[in-house]
Amino acid sequence: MKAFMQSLKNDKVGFIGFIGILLVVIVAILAPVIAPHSPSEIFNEHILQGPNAQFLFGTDELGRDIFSRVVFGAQVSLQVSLTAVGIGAIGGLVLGLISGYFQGKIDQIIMRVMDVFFAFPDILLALTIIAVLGPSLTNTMIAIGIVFIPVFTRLVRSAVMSVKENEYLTSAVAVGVHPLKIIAKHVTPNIMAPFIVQVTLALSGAILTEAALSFLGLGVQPPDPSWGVMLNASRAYMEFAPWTILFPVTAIVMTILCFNLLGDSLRDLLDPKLKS
Amino acid sequence: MSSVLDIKNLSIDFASKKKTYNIVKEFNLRIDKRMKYGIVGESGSGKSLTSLAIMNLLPEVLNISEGSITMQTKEKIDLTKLSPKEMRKVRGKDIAMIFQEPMTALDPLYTIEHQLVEVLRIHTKSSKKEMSDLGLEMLKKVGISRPAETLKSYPHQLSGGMRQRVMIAMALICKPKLLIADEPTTALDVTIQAQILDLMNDLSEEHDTSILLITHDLGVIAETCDRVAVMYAGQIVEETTVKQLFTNPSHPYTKGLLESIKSLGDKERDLYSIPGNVPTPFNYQEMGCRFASRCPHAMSICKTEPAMYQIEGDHKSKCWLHAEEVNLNDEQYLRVGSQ
Repeated sequence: MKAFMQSLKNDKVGFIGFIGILLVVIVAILAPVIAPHSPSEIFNEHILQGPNAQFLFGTDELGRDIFSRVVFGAQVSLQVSLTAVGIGAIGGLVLGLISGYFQGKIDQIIMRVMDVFFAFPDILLALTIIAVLGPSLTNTMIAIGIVFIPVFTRLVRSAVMSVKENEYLTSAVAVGVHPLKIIAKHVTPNIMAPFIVQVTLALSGAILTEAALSFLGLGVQPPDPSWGVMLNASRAYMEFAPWTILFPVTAIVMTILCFNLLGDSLRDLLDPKLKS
Repeated sequence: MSSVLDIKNLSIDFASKKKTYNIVKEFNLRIDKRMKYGIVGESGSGKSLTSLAIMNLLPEVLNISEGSITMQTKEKIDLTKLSPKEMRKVRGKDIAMIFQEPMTALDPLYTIEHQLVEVLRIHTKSSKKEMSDLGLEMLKKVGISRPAETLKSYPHQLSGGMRQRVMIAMALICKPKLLIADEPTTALDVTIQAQILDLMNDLSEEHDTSILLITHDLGVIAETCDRVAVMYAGQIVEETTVKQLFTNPSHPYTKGLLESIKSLGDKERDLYSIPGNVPTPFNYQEMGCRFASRCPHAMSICKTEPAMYQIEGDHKSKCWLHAEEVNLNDEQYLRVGSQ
């Protein structure tokens, strides 16, 4: 872990991404301390004010402090992306390992079901799931998670199949290692590089999907602050009050950028051949 | 002497949805204690499949349809009848295997120490320190110059020869009764090949391990083995001592193989090759002798399958030429020549 942090430090771009994400996490955790106002507190006399000393990022159409809402929005975004990717990644990992390692009939069944999921565009699938479950924060997370399962399953399956070709797996069988132990200790670690990269990419994807769903009014429900909800609310005013849209967008873009930067450098760091 | 491994009448089938095809047929082999047994044959002759069958590592589409593989451990066990759990106990402990590709045969994510210890952890109940010490000792035995450092390194830091040495260390660490080496030197430099073969020889003698060596290189056989089986298209065609094989090759296929070795000195002669190709398993069934279509001695009777005929002592050949009842004046023994 220490060596890992050291090599991360040497990789400037990855380090920036890492610091950026750390910052978002700290902001999310300390939101009640950092935010000067409650995210839903309405200041009637300060509607749609530009950034000033009292309201750092200005106020929105109801007179709420945009800075506080962006800060609290980080909580929602992280919560949604972490939970959703958790569901998708774990579900995909399990299904992909089963599919790729055992192959045969079970593989056919799993992959055909995944193909059905793949046939729907992401957002449409998420919309359908939410339409069934009803719009709420929890259901948004579940819906996005389910949307991600096929992507992970397919990735893990193909990685497992290529790892399986290596003789060290046959060799592990040949010295008498239990199949489940082989999956846990020799297959899973060896597919981690593409998997973790996919996780970081999915984290940013989840933030985007959450924003998109909230923008459509099917994700996080007002008055809960979410970056997507804020975009949705401010789209009518953005021409004469650009700050209402600028700050949540910046937050989304920066967070996604940081996740992608980190994901890129993780891919390099996780390759043992590059360990010196 | 007691046998370590006794394969009787082994058949391996490939089952597709419509039909089953026989790939390896009537395979018999007996390895005695401390014996070094070679199987030689060209690609697709079924030699690797046979070794996988011993380890019960055949891919799902292939299965053993007939025969037994008896292994002498504490008691006699038939490897074809073991449950997966019992088989795992045999693998690595009683039978170990060395693979062709040392470059990919070690897990890139773990140190050499971890992988050596993993084998011990499955089959013994030693403490971590003991296992680690034993690992170090094994690395010294296989002639690695800086064993302590190698123990802590990752596979990619080692050269092909070093990795193959590590593989041998891993294979012999539990003192198995049988070591299956599937083309252990094919992927290595010529200079390293001899060293690795010597090492395998020395260590197997030290540990009382028998060796089953699978190769397509007759030179490797000559250097290492006591007995040898020549495989062609899924069958043993000749089985004898190594000395007999080189001094008195009997089966036309063996003769062809030996012919095609180029030796230093004969510059004039073109390299000999056996005409034709190895038949595919899909038409094995219709063939009598599977070599007949390429055989310079082919006769009408070769349309029916010959048995294993004893030539002298332990020297056996699967060819009508060596049948006792052969009468070359009879019409069915008329030479038809190579087709």
